[in-house]
Amino acid sequence: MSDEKEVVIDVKNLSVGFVVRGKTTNVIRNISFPVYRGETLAIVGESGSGKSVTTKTFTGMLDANGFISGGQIIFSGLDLAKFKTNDDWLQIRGKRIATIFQDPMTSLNPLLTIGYQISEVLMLHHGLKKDEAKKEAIDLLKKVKIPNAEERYNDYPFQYSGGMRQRVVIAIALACRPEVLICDEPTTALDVTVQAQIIALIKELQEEYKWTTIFITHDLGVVANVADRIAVMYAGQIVEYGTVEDVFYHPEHPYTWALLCSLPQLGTKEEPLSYIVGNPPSFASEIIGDAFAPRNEYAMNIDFVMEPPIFKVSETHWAKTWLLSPMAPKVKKPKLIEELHQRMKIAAQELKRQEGDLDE
Amino acid sequence: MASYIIGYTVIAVIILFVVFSVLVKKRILFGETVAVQKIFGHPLLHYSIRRVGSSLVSIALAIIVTFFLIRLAYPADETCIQLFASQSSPTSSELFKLKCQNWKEQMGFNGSMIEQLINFFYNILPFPKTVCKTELETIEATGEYVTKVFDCRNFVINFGSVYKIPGIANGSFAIDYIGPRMMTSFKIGIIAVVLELALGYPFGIMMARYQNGIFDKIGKTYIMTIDAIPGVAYYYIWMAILCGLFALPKVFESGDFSSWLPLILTMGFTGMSGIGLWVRRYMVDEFNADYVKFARSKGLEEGRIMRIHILRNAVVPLVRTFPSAVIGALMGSYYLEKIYNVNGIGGALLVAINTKNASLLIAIIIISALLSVISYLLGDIVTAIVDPRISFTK
Repeated sequence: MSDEKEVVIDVKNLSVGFVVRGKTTNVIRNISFPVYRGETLAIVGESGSGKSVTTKTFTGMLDANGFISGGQIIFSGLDLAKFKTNDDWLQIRGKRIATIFQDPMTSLNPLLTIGYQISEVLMLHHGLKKDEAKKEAIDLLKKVKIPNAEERYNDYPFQYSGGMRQRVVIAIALACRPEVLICDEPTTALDVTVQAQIIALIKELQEEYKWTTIFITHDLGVVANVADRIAVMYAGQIVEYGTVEDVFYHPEHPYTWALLCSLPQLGTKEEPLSYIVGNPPSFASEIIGDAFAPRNEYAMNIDFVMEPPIFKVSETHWAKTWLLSPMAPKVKKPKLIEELHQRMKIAAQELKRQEGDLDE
Repeated sequence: MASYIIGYTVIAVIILFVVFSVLVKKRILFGETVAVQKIFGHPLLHYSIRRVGSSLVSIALAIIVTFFLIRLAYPADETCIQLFASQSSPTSSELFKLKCQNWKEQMGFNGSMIEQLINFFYNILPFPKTVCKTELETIEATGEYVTKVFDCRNFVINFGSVYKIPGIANGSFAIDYIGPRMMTSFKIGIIAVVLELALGYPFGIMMARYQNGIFDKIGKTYIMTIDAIPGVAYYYIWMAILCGLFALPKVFESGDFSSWLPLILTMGFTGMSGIGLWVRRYMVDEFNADYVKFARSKGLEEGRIMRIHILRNAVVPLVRTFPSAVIGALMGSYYLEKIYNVNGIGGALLVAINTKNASLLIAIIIISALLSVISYLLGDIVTAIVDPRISFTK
């Protein structure tokens, strides 16, 4: 399956460091993964695992103290990791890779009209004249389902609600006509009801515009809905990578298990909601062995000494855990993981029932 | 006569305008006419009317308090003795009593305190009135005293007269003392304001643009130095540089522009540091704003981000200070005017206090109160114009 798919961004051995108070810490530690054209790749992981930092390297948007310390980011024949100046990035940013940020309340300039902020992009990237840009911008506002688009063109962001602002942000991304759209937790700051609408909108537009989406989230529930492939990140590394089916039905990494087990949607009323004990490791000291080992109930001695290599599970699926080593003892996955298929069915039915209630 | 007609017409127009606007706003008049509502019912206009109204009330209260305080501090009889008592006319003499009486009348010091207050308000309320100077004269033939009335002028606001100021004739109108001095201070001050804006903005922008670079470090050092050195000492340092090194005149001469330079440059370079500090601060804040990151991720070039998304937003909180900077130039600078011997308004308050000039003192207080009310109001209005988020509706 993956053989036929075209790779649009190929990340190879990427490492990112940050200089904090004179000390360099490695925040992304030697990660490699492909992003396939037209698909949605979800990067999941808890706060600080390096999800955002990874995608920031694709558009040269790392903070001033961050730098790429090694590896390659191959995008249509170019190595983005080699880009240095802003002029280099102007060929990529917006035009070819666009980003939607987490907080729509602050993503728009409060002093400029919505219309101006969309037209600005149209005039820049497509060389439209002012009135053409306005027409196009109104069309885009309609595309993202802003009611009375003509009248609201001249409104300011403060006159829009959070969900509406995120629609405008999406309209701006649309105006860029990018090949790759990075959605950095686009629904985290929104109401649950609005979240679903925004995700549906992104999916719908992706089908129409055929872009590739990289979807960053810490919510596995959202992922199941949107993603084709999933990369699970922990402490600056990708610990498991596979298609949605691979990761949801045959998760192999104990961290993925723990994430799935802590999904409230999959829990039953009888058992307490499980959570991951402890904290992610600090980047201040060097990480030895498997970064997840101290929090992992399946950790073996080797996990504390040696970093696990990548073990291929199938053509599309790999995980970075010693449990997959042929020498490792067979462990019994958590009960919930074993029953995952069934649980998901129940959860889906529950969701349907709730939606039914809402409709009535 | 003509000035009376103009005066009353202006006052009538203002009152009619305010009354009409209020009636339109309350929808008693033109409740349905959109165009009229749009202009005369504009929230900004009514905000201004309310603000001016309430400010006038507070100014009136302040005037009443100051009025009584000054009357208590400078008893009229004591000033009378200082002014008119001499060996030839002791306090018991007829001449002294007449002179004192005449002076009190002219200065509004006769009658009870309440009468004086009412009289005072009559004089400062802005409608035309004729005021004359009076002087006691002796008719040689009979030896009688008569009051000579001369130099009658039409005033809108009458601030009374001044006396005992060196170089100024007793009984001169206070406004004649204040007016020309204020103009002198303003001419210097307004050039200085233009200079400090012209220097301060690029200064702040450059510091922010190359944050933590060499220019930023030099700039920050300069700002800190100016903050740390007391004003007077700092002015003398500039005097040493400008008048010593560059041989500019040390004494202000309104006809000689080179003698303006030390004042203008000193004010300009001082003001520049404050403006630069705030421009830098607001811009650095904007650099980290999410919408700036988003603008960058849209693919906008840095120059455009700088102009449209950073500078514009950083300036919004600063436009508030434009009107007060310009209006502030009207009040002069005490130290600088003293150092360079400028006949400006900066020292007028001290002169009024030192010479116990009640009229001058209260005139300066009223003028500076009015100016600060106006500059705050204008500050609010320009902020509302540049910031769409501000609305004056409830």
